[in-house]
Amino acid sequence: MVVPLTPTPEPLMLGIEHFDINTFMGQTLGWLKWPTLIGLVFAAVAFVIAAYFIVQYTKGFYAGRKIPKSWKFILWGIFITAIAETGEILAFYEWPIPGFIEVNLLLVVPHALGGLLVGLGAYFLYKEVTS
Amino acid sequence: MPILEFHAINPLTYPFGPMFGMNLYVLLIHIPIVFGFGVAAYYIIKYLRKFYADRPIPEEWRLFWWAMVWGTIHELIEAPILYQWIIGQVLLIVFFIIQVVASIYLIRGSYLLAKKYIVK
Repeated sequence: MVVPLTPTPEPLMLGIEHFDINTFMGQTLGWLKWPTLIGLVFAAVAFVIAAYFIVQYTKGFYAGRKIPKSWKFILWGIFITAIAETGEILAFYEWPIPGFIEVNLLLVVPHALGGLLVGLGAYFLYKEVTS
Repeated sequence: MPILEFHAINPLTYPFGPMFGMNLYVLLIHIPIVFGFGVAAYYIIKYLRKFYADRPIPEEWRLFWWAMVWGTIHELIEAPILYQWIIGQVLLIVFFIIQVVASIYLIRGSYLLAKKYIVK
């Protein structure tokens, strides 16, 4: 059964009071409660760790030289995607009454921006060896 | 939660019902979400083939490229979850596996890149 968004009388800025780790997109999780939570948290943490290692890599590889925009874009893309993955946890567990901030500012917009930056960064990386 | 269900949901009428503009906004913003990592995987392999030419591609770069591929799969599966085209335990198990694999590749790939050039 599809669980659509539940309209509220006034736009809900934060939906944290609807956060429930027993449900995912409004569906009762049952035995999948912990695997789902672990998977979502692991993904968010992985992007933070990757951002940290990419900072270390660029510092070591470029050692005082100017870091090219390709790696700056990739690094920011990975970091912003970490924010999106965090927003995803909130929105999936708050559904069907998620807050505006969680859905827009923490999930949808950072996801799009993160994807765009990683894609552009990789494109610039390729252009650096071809031009 | 059901084992597996499929639903034909029109993205132009979901998730905000009659608010067409909001539905279109959510749909359009999925273009960079889904294709961003795919484009990254495409250009990184092109970069590696150009840069390393006939030399073997180092493990850290191979793993980083695989992280981009799995990241793309990760973003791809989130669209049917959000749009509820697919609902069920099977989908969540697949989602869990994809998240774990993508995360391991991402951590391992970036770790090995850093390890090779880490600032002492």
